[in-house]
Amino acid sequence: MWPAASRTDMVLERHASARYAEGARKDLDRTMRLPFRQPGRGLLITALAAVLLTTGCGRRAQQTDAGTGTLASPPAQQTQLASAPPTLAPTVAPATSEPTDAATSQPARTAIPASTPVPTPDLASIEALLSGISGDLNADATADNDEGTPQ
Amino acid sequence: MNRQLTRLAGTFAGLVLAVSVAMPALAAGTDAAHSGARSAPSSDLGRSRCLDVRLAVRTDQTVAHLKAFGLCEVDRRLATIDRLQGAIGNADVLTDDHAAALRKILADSESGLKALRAEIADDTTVPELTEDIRRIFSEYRIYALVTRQVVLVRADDRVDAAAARLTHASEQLTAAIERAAGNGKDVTEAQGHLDAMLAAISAAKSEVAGDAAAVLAQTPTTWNTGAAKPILDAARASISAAHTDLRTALTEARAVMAALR
Repeated sequence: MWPAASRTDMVLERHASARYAEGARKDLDRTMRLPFRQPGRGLLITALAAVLLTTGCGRRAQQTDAGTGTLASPPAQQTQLASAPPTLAPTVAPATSEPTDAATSQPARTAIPASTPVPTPDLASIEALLSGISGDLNADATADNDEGTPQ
Repeated sequence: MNRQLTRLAGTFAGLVLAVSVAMPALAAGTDAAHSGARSAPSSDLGRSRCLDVRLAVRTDQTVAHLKAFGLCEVDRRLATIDRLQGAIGNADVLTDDHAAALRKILADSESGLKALRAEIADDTTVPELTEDIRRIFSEYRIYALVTRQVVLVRADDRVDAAAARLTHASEQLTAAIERAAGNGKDVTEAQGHLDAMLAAISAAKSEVAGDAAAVLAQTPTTWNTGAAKPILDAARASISAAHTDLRTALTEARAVMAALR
């Protein structure tokens, strides 16, 4: 049997712990919900996030346009583009099919050249040359009209 | 207080968003304006540029009207020469020999037209002006001959450059076919497309062989005798046929790659 005074102390102590825990939980709730309970701050945070996203997308779009000499492109990328050979890119096309599970792959698949590297010629530069030829032919067709006559 | 803060935040966010969206667009517009400034629109150099003074001469053939018409036609040609010189400088496909030959044609035309312009400015009679205006056309042929020389030779060199790149591509594709065959793949289809690609490249090169030299050899004199125009027209037909051949070769290259996948 416990002494009466001791039991009272234990009960009081238990109540105090419970109150403390409840207070701490409420504080935590307030802290978590604080930004969203004030509309001004919430809107400001949303706007800043939108600006960050927009700016990031804009920079990315400018970087993809580095071929036209956009100044926003990072110098490293410009250097890489400028030094790229005008003939053929050394890249290879990705394999068309890859076994996803080694346990399910069959031995015969290793002999099939499904993953044979296929070079990717710089077809874009050839397309540009062909477009240039079309432009020259059009210019040639209309040049005569500009000559005029002395009369 | 909270409502005011909300309004301020909304206004600020709107401004920032507007600036973020507008700046790249403005930058792109500036680039476009710069690229457009490099070459004046062809309409500015066409016959319509001197239409007013031409009509004035037809209405009343005075010294003042003839002089204005002559000077306008000379200036139009000098502007065209300037544009063609820029085109030669920007055309990285031109061979050194072809670029040098075209630059000489343009430089000779420019100096001759400037001298003729001074003569027209000094002319005081209608017969003098009539004769000098005729020389603008007969002695230079800036549009009928010189402009066509520039664009046809440039097109000819573009054909050669495209054929060279396609030949390089065919070498890569040949190696890829050999690797695929070594791995046991049936490469019959790929090889067929490669053969068609090589044949098309060869046809394109033979189409334009010697055309650039023939075009560059023409002068205003051969144009006036009627000898130059058939040569220029033949070169144009060759380039057009070569263009078709190169397009075929490009299609066959893509077919080879598809067959190997």
